[in-house]
Amino acid sequence: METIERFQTRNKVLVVGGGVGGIRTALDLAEAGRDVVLIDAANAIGGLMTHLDRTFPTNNCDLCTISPNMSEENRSRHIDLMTLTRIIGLEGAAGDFTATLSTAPRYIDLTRCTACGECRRRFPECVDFSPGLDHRAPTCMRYPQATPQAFSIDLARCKDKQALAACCPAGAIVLDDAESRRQMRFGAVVMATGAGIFDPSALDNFNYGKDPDVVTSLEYERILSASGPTGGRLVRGSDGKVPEKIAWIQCVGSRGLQKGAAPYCSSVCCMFALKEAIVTKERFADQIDTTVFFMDMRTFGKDYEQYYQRSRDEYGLRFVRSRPHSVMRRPGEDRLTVTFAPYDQSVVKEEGFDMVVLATGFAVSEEMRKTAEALGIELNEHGFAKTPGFNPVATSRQGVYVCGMFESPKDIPETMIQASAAACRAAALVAPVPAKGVEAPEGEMAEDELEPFPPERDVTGEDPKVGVFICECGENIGGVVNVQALAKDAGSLPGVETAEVLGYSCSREGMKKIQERIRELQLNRVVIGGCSPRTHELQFQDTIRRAGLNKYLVEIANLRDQDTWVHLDRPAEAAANARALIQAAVSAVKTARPLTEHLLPMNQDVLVVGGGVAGMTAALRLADQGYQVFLAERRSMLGGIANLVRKTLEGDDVQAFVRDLIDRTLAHENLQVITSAFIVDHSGMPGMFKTGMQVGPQMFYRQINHGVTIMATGALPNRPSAYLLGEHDAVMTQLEADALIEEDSDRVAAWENVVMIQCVGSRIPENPNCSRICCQAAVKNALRIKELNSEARVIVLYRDMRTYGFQEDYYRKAREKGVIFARYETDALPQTEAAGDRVLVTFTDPILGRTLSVEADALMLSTGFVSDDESTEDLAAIFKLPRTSDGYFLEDHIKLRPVDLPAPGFFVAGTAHAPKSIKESLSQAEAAAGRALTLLARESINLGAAVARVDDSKCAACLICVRVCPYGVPFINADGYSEIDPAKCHGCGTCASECPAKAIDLMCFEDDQILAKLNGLLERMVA
Amino acid sequence: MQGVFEEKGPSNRYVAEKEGQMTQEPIRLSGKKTSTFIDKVKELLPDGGNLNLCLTCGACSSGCPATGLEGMDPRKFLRMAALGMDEEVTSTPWVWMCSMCQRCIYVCPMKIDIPRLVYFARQSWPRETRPKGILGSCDMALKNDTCSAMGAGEEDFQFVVEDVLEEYREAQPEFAEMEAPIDKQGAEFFVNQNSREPVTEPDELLPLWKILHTVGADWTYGSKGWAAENYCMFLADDESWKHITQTAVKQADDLGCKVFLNTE
Repeated sequence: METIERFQTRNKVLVVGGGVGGIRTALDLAEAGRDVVLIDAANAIGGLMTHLDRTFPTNNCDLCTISPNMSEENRSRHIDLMTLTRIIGLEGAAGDFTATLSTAPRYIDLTRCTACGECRRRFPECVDFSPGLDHRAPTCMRYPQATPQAFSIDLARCKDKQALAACCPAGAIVLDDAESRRQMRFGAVVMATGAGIFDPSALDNFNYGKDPDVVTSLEYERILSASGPTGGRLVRGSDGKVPEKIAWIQCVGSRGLQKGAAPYCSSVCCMFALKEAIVTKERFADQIDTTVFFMDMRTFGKDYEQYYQRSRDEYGLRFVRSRPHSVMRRPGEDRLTVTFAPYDQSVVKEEGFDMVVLATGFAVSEEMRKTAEALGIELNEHGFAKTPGFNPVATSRQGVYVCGMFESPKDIPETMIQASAAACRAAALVAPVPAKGVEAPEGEMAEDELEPFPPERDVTGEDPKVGVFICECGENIGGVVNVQALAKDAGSLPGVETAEVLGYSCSREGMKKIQERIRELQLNRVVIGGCSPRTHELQFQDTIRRAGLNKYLVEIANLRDQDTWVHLDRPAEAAANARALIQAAVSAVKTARPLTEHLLPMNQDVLVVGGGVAGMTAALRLADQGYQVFLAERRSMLGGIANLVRKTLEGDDVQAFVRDLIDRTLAHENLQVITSAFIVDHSGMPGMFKTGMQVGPQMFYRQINHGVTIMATGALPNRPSAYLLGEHDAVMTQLEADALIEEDSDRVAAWENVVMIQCVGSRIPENPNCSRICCQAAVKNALRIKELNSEARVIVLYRDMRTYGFQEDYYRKAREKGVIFARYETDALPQTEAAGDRVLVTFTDPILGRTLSVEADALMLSTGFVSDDESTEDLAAIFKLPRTSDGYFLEDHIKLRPVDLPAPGFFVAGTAHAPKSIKESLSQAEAAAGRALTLLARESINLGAAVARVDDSKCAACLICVRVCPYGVPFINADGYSEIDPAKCHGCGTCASECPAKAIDLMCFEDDQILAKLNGLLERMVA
Repeated sequence: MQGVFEEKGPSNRYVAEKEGQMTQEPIRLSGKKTSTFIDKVKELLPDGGNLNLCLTCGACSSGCPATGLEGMDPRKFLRMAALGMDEEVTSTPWVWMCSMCQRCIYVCPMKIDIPRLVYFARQSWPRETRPKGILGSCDMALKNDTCSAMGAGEEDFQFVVEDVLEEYREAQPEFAEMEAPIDKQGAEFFVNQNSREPVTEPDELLPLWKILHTVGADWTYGSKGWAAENYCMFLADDESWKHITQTAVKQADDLGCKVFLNTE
């Protein structure tokens, strides 16, 4: 039945796909005050990341990293979530689209389902909760933190429908549920549907699907995962034994031309194989041998190369550069036999493995094709959304943007960057609106379960009435300690009104329960016995605030990370420890006081540091949305490194693009460009920064007031002294070659022999990371040389070809044109010597085991990037920003917050973050603008309540606080004692700990609270 | 059609480079690139046989029964061709150790037609210098319309078939009705037979007959073209290969058979 909804506003964004990318886009837009409808074809959001076990670089559990994001999503007051929903048509144009959405029946009334699981217990065949090994299985609630927290029914599998409906105690099963269609209006659309996974059964030489011990990498993640089919025990499918030798085989379904494989590189498989093997080593140490069979190790991302080095040197992963011919089990044998040929030998080796993991890549999914068709957007030759070279998240249809895997195969940080970029672009087409609950302009939207914050209940003077809520967290806590006994114990503590066990406090049901109990029992303090406050504190603060309590009246006892995970095998000690942690938290929370957060007006101007393509793009995107932007550039001209680049790998004209960008930047009425600007000082906080700079030849001092800062200071083209560079005219960098090919094509066309050397100055101890862009630069120049002279002999000497994603097409094209690629080892570097006008290059081809020498007319060195140490070191000191060991700015979270810097109000874009291509820099520039919008949308700044407060009766004006404060906030006032402005205090607590008179307290961490907490712990120790 | 490559004089004969002999001169690449063996082969194959696309992953070599023989393997062979080492490529006896099993191309991510490259490398050898065993077998097959590389004639074959059949009909009563016809007009299946069975292992003829009998197939051998082996193909002698095949096909056509069951 088609329901046409009228009187809708077009002032909102449709986000298609609720994986990490779609969630990030929706959250950014919501934080920037835009209304969002987030749809997902599955019955819960989360996408692929929720299937993973742990992720690079800390090997943290993924679910814990992402689930707060999802629940944040659920609580956001600008987002409407529609699961089991697809887009089937899109009419109209940018700014005024009408989308037709189709929602499949769930057969469960979301408002009634309590996720109690009765239906699953009675009819497991049609309601399957347990997360299976098969990621494609029609499981319904794959993990306990699912959003929305509800089951869905596969009615086709049900034999007795009436009995199924009758079994639900909540009466939530709706048998006559049907597909529904609706039309909704939108200003912009963001596509974040992700991609499919390659099915390796077509590559029958690997025996996937026939032998249970051959699994895909995603299935291996499921096996390792605590919420997986084996409960996190690493056992093999054939006999349930713990494997002793595991092999990974790379590029399965990627970089191939037959049996349905994709010709492109899937970009992320090298990293996830390393991660899986490392996690295996971490958890099982020496008991398991891990071997990775690979062609090229593509660890091209930020610090990925160091991860690769660590995997070999510290964890002892074994790497074999070979693609095995086949995996098979000989009759009667316990192990699988992997047949391979070592890289530099003419022999066949056979080796037994207990398990083989196929690193399967990403494929175009039916979902992608259908969605593209519905949206009328163009796809590239591989079936991914086509985006122009200098417009990284724009599809062929104006107003429709794309992020994540649907654009090209990419990892989580890249997806997050594109998601924020897409949010930035979409935000330009819709206006901010007040949050729902404050004013609800769209009555027809799904009912918002969230009420506005109720008035805060005054609890001063009340005796503590503490509610203790203990999570089972599946097996995580409940499997180690007896939570019922723990609750009973906690209930007897003085001041505790109630102590209860909840499955998952962080689930929607859990939060609702806590709020109910607060109201019923008039609780005035809450203790959660669960996981880390780092991930969940904000959520529980919000939960109790919605029940009318001041948000600082909750304390979290980290039972999971600090106890049950640590003492997995010692339940008695774990139980004692859990009691102590609960007791400490109860003691502490009893002394907690309601605190007020400080608010200040927000300065909505922006400072962008660095006038390269990233800086200009970020500045323009924000200026276009009406914000005043200051663009400070150290040099006298704009453009940065892009001024030196002529062509991209895809053949786009960089100079025309940069000229246009500079023109638009200089002409924009909201944009003020300050060239020859050296930043000299900085103070303030997000929403009220002050940055001083010396400008122009006279070095006049100028101060800018701004609310947010975007760092786009770039990196430098590397130019090491190696291989006769700077000594011989035939030797040049790829960047110089790029210009030469354009400017002196006659000279280039006359070359008969050209040699290129990769990784010059990268992946070496002095500059350990991969420069990421050099392989594509070499392939680009090789192809252009071949175009000028198809008979030229071009030889590329490399260590690993890292033409990730669709760049692989160009690598293949270069081989097709006859470019020779030969590997070299770091212990046998190519040798160069001058030979007149030419350079004699000698190297060993490992396949032949023989030395080759070439008289090259030109020798091109792929020198990549180095960080601009001189400027980033100063800027890092002035802005108090951390850097990586190789001098790039360090982001807040390498996976989930790759654009935010750890200093609030700071964002990073372009090569100041890490080496990247122009398109990738532009993407991050738009992302930085998108992230900046989330702050700029605010009227005021919340300083939080954790600030230092001076008790003037105790202060001796000894100046210690004045000296130790890293931010220079305390000063001795006219009355003769220390004063700390709460608007400037960062809440670091240094002064509080140093003050000899104990005159300074840090709110939220007052001495009496800390002492109470300690007492809680020590009482138990004595008892 | 004669081989596509001009035959070379005996001076181009392969000179064995013993394994471990590390006194090799560097391979010098200089001056203008000239057309090489691999370029010529590419022109003959659809999509150039993808011969340029090698990723040097080694999947071919790790599945090749001939890897390591003569210090050679498919990847190395292709690499030599790609680097223009024509003398080595067209003279290594390794090409004669390839069984044309196609295990390499089956798993090659780039679907590179290495078997055809090997085939053309064989063809570049002067006919008389090709391995004696294969050469002799091909020549023998050309002498007789039975196409038997072992020189078995029509009467020899007929005698063996009838003799074996009679013996087994008696020994195994449940196969008393079994037949092994030669030149049966209008049979559905034309079946051929490697000469090795009638000549050296007559008992080995029986399993196939039993299967055909059990399923009730209407089949026949041919007095001409019954020999299933085709050494001329392995010899890379296109003209002779064609002759052998045509002889057998003609016999099947003359008998009015619908299906040619090639047992080799």
